[in-house]
Amino acid sequence: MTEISDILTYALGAVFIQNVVFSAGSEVSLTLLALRKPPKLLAVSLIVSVFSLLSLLTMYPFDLLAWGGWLSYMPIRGVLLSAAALLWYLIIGGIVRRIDSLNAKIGSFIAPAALNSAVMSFPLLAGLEKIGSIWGIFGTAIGAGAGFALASWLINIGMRRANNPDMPKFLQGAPAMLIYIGLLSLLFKAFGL
Amino acid sequence: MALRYNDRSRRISDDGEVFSYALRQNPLLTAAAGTAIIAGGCTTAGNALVLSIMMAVILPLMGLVSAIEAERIRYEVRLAAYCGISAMLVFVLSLIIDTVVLGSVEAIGIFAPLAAFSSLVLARTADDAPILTKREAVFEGLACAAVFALTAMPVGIIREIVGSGKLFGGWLGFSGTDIFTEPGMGFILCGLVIAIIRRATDKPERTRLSGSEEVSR
Repeated sequence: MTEISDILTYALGAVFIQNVVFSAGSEVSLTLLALRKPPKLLAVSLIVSVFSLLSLLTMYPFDLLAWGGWLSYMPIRGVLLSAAALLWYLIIGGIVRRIDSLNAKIGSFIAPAALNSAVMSFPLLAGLEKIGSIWGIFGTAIGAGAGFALASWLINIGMRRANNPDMPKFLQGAPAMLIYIGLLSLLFKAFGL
Repeated sequence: MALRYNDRSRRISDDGEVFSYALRQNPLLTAAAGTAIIAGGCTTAGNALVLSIMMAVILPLMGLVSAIEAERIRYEVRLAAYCGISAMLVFVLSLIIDTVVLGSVEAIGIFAPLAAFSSLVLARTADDAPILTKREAVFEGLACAAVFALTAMPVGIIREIVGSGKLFGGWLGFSGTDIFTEPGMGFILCGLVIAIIRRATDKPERTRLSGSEEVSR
């Protein structure tokens, strides 16, 4: 039962408290890209979850063995994580490309959804917070995808209004979206208090 | 030698004005690419300066890489290849900058390595990325880096002054309010700064009236 509790605790934390799109400021651009085709959002969120899980699991033994030493130096941590993420992308991407039906559905999204700062954020944040339980890692990964989907849905609502012609032209589009995302971020911050 | 780009690519300009074009039309101003790094990492003026310096080196180099490879790398692995190159660039730069000013990159936290995967750094992998020669790619990268600095520095300065009552680490005599160090305020300030830049760089539309006078809006 403690394993399920760990999963749920970290999933909830990742969805609300550590939602990297809002509370850490990661990968708003991927969100905006995914929302061009809202039906694909579920696929993108699932891919984010899978690659977050793989990246977290890859960094976990390093965190256990060397945290506090050389591995806590962020540039080294970053390059290790980048190498792991690229390796997983090449493996998973290669498998997907060999399955025609899967490739047709998610082939065009797998690269941007796998190689982005949202997926990179979780292992970097997890190292800083030292998720001690392996079940916590599963929960964090589940929450990563769910949190990304939640954030994207909320951003989608705002995007429909960001080009309102009643706004001054210089505020339309990206500036309006950024202000809206900032207000949502502050709201999500309230969950962490 | 003809550059082999896909059919969605286009030339920015044939008259050599890539730099001035890219100052007004770049992924940061039009699609908010890279604003996540600013909102999360630029909590102080020092952080903004370090990130601006990193972008000033990385963006032209990534542009040069894209002009040299000209989509010869297979589509399936192109993004991964660019991520690998940008990650190595960020790593080397981080070591150099952190050695020159001790702790300056560490202070940025996770956003220094995340810059390698920023959509601004990887913008050249987009399907509709413009066709550029090597020289144009470097100028475009410098223009994007200039806009990045123009956005990041005011955001970092305001957040440090209002958030902690300091500027470049020097205390100004008053205490700040912590909320300005949150990413949410970073996004809001980014949006406002980008709006100001757009307002300043938008060319007025000129309309011809029935007489000989022209009026700009």
